[in-house]
Amino acid sequence: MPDIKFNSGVPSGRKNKLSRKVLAENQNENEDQNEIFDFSRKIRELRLELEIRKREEERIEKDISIIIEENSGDGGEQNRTFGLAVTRLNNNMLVVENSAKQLTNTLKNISLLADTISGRVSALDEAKNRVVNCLQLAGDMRDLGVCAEGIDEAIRSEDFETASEHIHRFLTLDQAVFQIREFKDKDATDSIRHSYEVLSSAKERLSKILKARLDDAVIKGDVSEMQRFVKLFPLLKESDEGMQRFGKYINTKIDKLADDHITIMRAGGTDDERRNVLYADTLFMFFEGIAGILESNLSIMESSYGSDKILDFLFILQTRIDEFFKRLLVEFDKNRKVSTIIKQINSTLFNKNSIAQENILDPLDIDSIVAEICLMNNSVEMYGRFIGRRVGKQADEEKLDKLLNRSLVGTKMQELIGNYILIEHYYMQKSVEKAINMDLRENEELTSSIVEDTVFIVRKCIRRAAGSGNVDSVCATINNAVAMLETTVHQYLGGFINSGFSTSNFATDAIQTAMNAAYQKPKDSQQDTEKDMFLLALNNSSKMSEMLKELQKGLIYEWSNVSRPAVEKNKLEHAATQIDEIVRKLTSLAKHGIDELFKAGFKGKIKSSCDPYRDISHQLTMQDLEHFEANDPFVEAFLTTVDRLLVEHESLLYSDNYQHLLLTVCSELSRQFELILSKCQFNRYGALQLDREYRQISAYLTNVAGWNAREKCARLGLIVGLLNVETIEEAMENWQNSKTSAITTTTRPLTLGEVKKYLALRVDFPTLAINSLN
Amino acid sequence: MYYQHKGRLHWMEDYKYLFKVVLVGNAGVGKTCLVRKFTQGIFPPGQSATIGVDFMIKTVKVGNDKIKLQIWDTAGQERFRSITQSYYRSAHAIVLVYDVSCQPSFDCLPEWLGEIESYANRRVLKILVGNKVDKGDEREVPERIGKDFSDVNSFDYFLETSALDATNVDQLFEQVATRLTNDMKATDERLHQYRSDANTSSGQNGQIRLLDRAQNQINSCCGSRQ
Repeated sequence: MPDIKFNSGVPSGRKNKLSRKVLAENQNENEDQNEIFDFSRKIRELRLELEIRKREEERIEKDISIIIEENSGDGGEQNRTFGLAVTRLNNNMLVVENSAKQLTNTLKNISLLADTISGRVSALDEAKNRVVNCLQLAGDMRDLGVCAEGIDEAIRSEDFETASEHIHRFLTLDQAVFQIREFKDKDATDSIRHSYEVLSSAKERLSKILKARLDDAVIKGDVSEMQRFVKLFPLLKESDEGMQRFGKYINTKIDKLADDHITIMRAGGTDDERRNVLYADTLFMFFEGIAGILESNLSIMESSYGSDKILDFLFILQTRIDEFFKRLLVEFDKNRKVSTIIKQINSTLFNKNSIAQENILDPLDIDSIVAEICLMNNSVEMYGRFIGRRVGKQADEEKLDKLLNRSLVGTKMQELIGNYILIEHYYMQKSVEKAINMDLRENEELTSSIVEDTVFIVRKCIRRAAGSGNVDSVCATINNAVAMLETTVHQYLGGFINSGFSTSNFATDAIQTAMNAAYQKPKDSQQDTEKDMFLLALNNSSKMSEMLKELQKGLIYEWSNVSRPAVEKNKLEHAATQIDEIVRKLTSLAKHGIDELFKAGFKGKIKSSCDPYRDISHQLTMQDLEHFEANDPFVEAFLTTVDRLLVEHESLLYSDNYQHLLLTVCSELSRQFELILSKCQFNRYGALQLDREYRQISAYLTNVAGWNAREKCARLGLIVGLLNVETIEEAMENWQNSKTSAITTTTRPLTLGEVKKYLALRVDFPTLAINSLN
Repeated sequence: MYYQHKGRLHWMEDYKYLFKVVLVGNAGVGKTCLVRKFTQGIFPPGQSATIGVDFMIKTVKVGNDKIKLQIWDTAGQERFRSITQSYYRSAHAIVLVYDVSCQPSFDCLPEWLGEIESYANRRVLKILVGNKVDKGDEREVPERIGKDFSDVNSFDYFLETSALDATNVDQLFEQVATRLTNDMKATDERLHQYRSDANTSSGQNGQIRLLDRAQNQINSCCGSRQ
């Protein structure tokens, strides 16, 4: 308590000095003692000293108590409580320490005990396992005995179920049982050896009996007997034997079914109206029958043989199904003459040599055959899906693929589909050629029959291919369709469009008369027909591209509802994108034609209608401006000319084509006007008049061609705006603004050079100031 | 132009060109294995015969350009011929494959060549591939013979490969991609040149003449079938 030390009023240093002094004096006294032993004075001094010390102590104690009292009001009480608490805590700690020691001891004991127990338990466990094994072995041995005893009786009494159970037990016994044969105990080993021999021979006998009985049942066609015996083979671990025999039975059923259907087919079927799909119907009915047979017989295989044996069983049946299909195909080929057709098609379609007309097949004659092949494939695919569902998802995919795709049915159908694709190709090609030959335009129609006929044929072929359920045939048909459109059809339409402009005397007036003639009087000149055909081909291309795009959309929509493997989806998707290409080609063909039409019929006229603008004065007075408001000098006549040109064509062109023409006219008009105004000179009022004229033109174009037209003459607007200013400074400001807030991305902003050039058109602006702009 | 449009089919996506490559040749010469090795890096043992056509895509780099190869792996068996034939026309490259350890597959080459000539675009890139060089002693067609056949029949490229040990597999497809890309770039440049010439000489008329030219090209290269 250093505080108390300093507060006592007696500095320790002085006190120490004092005590040292006393010590020193005491030493002196000791020295004195040796000589004089008179203590009385000394004692007195000491007593005095003691008295002083006592008083000092009292004073210090008083000081201390004062200080304590000052520092804490009721310190004494607290101190006592605290002291008590500390004592209690101390006691408690002692208790805890003791308890902890006890606990440690207890734990040590427990761990020792646990070790002992676990040792005992593991020993017990081992013992138990041995007991269980022994019991099982004993059980097995007993079972073996029971089986051996019961088997003969069971076989004798024809209780084959029990017998098979015995054999099954025998076959599934732990091999350990038979090792006991080498055991020491002679009796036991003898008994086991005996049972083993009995059962082995019994198994042989039973197997023979079962086979014979099943064979019998198969021959007799006794279904319940058959089902009884078939179930037993897996117990004897002779599943294959059972499957073979049962398969034989099912195969006779299949053969019967096949014979029935072939007989009906040869008689011409049951429905005369379906004669043209007789073979497809027969195939369909046959597969329906097969599905029925499988439904009623597969469950027994599944429950006794396990689902993984189903595929093996189906392979046994496939031989007979293949046989039927072979027979059907022979008849099909004989009566539908597919081979002959293929031969003929190959020679017509791919031989450049001319072929006698009578040898060329009419597409109508093969229409029903292609439909029939599609139906046949559809039946095969349906059967495949049925099998796929029946064997389930866990089936061996490779095996399933082998069964469905590599069997005779699979490969022959692939071959037939190959033929189908070829015949369909021929059908499409010849039908379209026919449609071209019969191309006819109804009165007043913008397009002719070729467009709808072609799209109809293409759609029909693709849909039919899709109906076969074979994705490859759909893709191949689309590929062939695109090839046909890009060659035959494109050449046909392109021919008219190109020849329309190849003739030397094709001129503005000529097309004009031709177009008028088309409506007013019968065509009498070769040239008129050519122009007419040109416009027709133009509209046909445009409409056909539109219809093909729709066809593509329709196909994609139809396919989106069917779930297919990713590869097949990709193939279809790719095939569909091929249509885009022909759509684009037809569109550009139409555009190309429109451009030619524009060159011949519009370009010159627009230019010549612009020319009068030069002859009008553009340096006006206020009065002139007012006068022009009522009496337009140029623009009305100009727009009337353009409008007349457009109106004449509107009724002749398909909407897309007309729209393209309008936009072409818009840009040309804007270009020509720009050219002509740069040859004129304006004053302020002249520029105002120009602005008025520009607004009229822009309003007219927007009116006929929509907002796209405004875009086309935006540049002209910039120039007109530039000319309509009071000062050069204002013009520059306008120009800067137009550069930053470019109206559209397609509009080319004016360059400084152009700005100078156009400003120079204002006669009232000083040339020097314009030239010094930068 | 026709050629070009095909290649630019999907120019909006992140690759520069898309090419269609069609593999043909007798059944069992290893077309599917070549494609699998190239696209997936695996050699599928016990690969069963392809049914119809198979279809795979792989992107490769030629210089700094990403090139997408759309690979059509066709079935070699006769019964799929009409499906296969429909793919020739839109192909940019046709890879004709034979098996160096199987003389009959080589003997059939003229037949395949006939197919290519009658169905494919005349300017198609033709590549001859002798596969299964890993078979060593079993080889029946010497490299020299293959090379000669390729030269005589004006194939653009000849190569011997092995899908089993990956010999020349990547190189084959890289060559296809590189050659097609270079062709396409050359066409692009010519077109660009033509366009700027036309623009400087006759303004708007140039564009129409260009279309004329494109038209003629379409007609000339599609006419082979008729």
